[in-house]
Amino acid sequence: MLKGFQTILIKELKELIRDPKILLGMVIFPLITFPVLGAVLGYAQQTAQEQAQKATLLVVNNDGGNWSQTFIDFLTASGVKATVISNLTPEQVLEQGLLSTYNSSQFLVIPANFSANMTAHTSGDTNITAVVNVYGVFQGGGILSNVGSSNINVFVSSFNRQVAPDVVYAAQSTIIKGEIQAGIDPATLSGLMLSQSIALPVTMMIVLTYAMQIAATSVAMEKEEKTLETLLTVPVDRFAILMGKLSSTIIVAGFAAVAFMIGYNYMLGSATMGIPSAVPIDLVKLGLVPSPFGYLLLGISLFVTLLSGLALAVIMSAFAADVRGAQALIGYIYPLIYIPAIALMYLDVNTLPTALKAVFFAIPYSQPIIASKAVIIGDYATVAFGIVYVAAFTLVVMYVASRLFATEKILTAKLKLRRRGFGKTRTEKTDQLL
Amino acid sequence: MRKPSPLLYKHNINQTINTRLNHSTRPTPTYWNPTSQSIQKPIEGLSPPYARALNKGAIDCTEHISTPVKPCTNKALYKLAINPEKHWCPTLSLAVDAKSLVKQFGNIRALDGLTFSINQGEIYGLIGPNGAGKTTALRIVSTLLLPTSGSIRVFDLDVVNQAAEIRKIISYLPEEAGAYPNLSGWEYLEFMAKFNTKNSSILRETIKEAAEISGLGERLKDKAKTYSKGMKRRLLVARALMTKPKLAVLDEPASGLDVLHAYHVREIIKRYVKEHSVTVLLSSHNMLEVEYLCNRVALLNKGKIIVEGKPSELKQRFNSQNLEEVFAKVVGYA
Repeated sequence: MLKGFQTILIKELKELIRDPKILLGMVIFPLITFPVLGAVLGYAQQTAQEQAQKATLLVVNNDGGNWSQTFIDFLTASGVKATVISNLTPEQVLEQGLLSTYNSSQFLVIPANFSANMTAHTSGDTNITAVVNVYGVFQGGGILSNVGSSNINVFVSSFNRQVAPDVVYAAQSTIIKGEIQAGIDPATLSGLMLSQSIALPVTMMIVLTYAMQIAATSVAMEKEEKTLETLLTVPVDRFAILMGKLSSTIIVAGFAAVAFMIGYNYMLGSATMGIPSAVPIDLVKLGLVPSPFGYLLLGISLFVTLLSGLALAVIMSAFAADVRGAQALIGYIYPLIYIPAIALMYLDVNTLPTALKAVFFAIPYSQPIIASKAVIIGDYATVAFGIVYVAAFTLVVMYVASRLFATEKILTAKLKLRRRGFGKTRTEKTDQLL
Repeated sequence: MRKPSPLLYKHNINQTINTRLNHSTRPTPTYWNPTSQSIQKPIEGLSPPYARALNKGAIDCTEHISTPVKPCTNKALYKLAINPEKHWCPTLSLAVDAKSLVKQFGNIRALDGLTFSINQGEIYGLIGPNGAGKTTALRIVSTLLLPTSGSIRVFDLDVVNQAAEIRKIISYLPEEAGAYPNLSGWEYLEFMAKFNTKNSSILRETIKEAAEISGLGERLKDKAKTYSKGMKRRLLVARALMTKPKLAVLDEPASGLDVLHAYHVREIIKRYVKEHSVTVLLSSHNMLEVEYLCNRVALLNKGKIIVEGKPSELKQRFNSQNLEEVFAKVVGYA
């Protein structure tokens, strides 16, 4: 054994274990984050499933034969709330706004030759397959967005097991922005969008975390190096000091946002290659990339969120005596960044229950992620709401920051960590002030 | 008390106004309220013994006030210039006038009725053990902290209500202060000087002077993170003095420095105060330093001044060889 190794090891462990930053980041954070995420995903999955089962399935019966009626009866017997109409083309369903009339997000068309094909297949000509056409409205990314189409596939499989193997085939098509994209399976499209919806939150987490660290360090460094005291006694407006610090980080954040958008745009344009699909999927042609206006809104959303995070970081760091303390305090904000980011990788906020949706909307750091999905489907109102909300939140934070800088609290304020062993004792703190 | 001649009074007032407005010399101080019915009334802001001495002519208050000053921004003086007979002239003789200062941090009473005054051009030292309240007092004078109660005026400006004005005429050097590690010494001086002047030639002169004060020469081009503690302190002392503040507040100016660096820093302060009539309020643990630098010292303990006076007087009064011994006797260690 190396001489002195044990002594060094014990000392290092004591140092690490007693550091609140380590405890927070490596133990408490995973212990809280993952159970919370698990609960959110589980709840959302359950709710989506229930909603899909409760949802009305619009069935357009253009066949009118026995087999089509048998199929519809089977669906109804399986618990599907089916509303049957007849003699309409898919385009007519959309034109007449029947989906919104029946509060449905998908419809199933039984073509005119359905019964004939069924009869042929069941009579022994197994090369002939009866096809039903399923049209689902694309609602954005997320693992729950294709629950409806998956359910229909399950019903078709059950029907086939009862009648004959592979007798009915469900041909999936997607309705994107009111237009039918034939042959594109919503599940494949959702999978593709999901793979991309992971990239934005991850990058967002990195950029936000990094920018907040810079902002927090900027103030904490002034305190640690004792340059802040000097700066506060020179003839300069204290708000100017705050704005100077924020502006420099905003400029950095601005560059980060632009770099972010360029990279994101490139990724959206190139990520569709190699995706297996019956029909080649081109997101640009499908209109599933943001418009220039969408990019602008997304950029603004990203920028105000960064600004908000930076302002909060500046305030938090004002309560720390040094850089290490500031980084520990900033750690308390991280769950608010990570939990929505990770959750929204898998979930579409629009498919969530109202309470959960409200929670995600209330967290400012989830707004760019929500915006990234909303701009793709052209939901600019949601993005605009997010921008206004985060801007208002930022203004409040900046007002508090300016008040803090205007008083002696910028020097004397210290967040008290109640747990024994965290930080310094009261006497030590007071000695510092004296 | 001797009543001054009205002619002399008028002459002094006019000289005060003219000198402040012409930016040529510091004002001649006035020690009485010209609008008061009773000229015998004690002067507000002066401690009684000092006021008595002034009125007896025992102290020449003009000895420290002959250097050029910045343009007059004092509204009271401006009013006086417009109508000198109507307005009360502020007590310009005091650089700092603190009365019954109390500062409370939660349950801790850092200052407990601290009263002291500093004359213009004086080097005044606050000495005392750790936790005595020296830094708190200095921070209040420097407008960093607000007193819980009591009043404090710096060149007749109220620390609570006129902090921005005070910041224009003071300079504060915190204990163990640092410079921005990624700025060069020169850039740091330039950054700090820009808060005091926008004029490029004055800026250049100010930085040049600071460079001379620091004695760092070519090393000013290097980043501050490459400096030794002594070099950094010299840079900071130069920063504190380069703008020729009316009041320099120096917290442990030579703290932690080796003999040579400490000597250099003390010499800078001594020389600069003499040349530019800067008033200095400093705190120190080093009694020899205090004895060498200060005209008057106050021994502070538990937020109160327990004894105050000239170093020589204190040594005599307590029959001690040096201030260290005085301090030990006063706090009961000897």
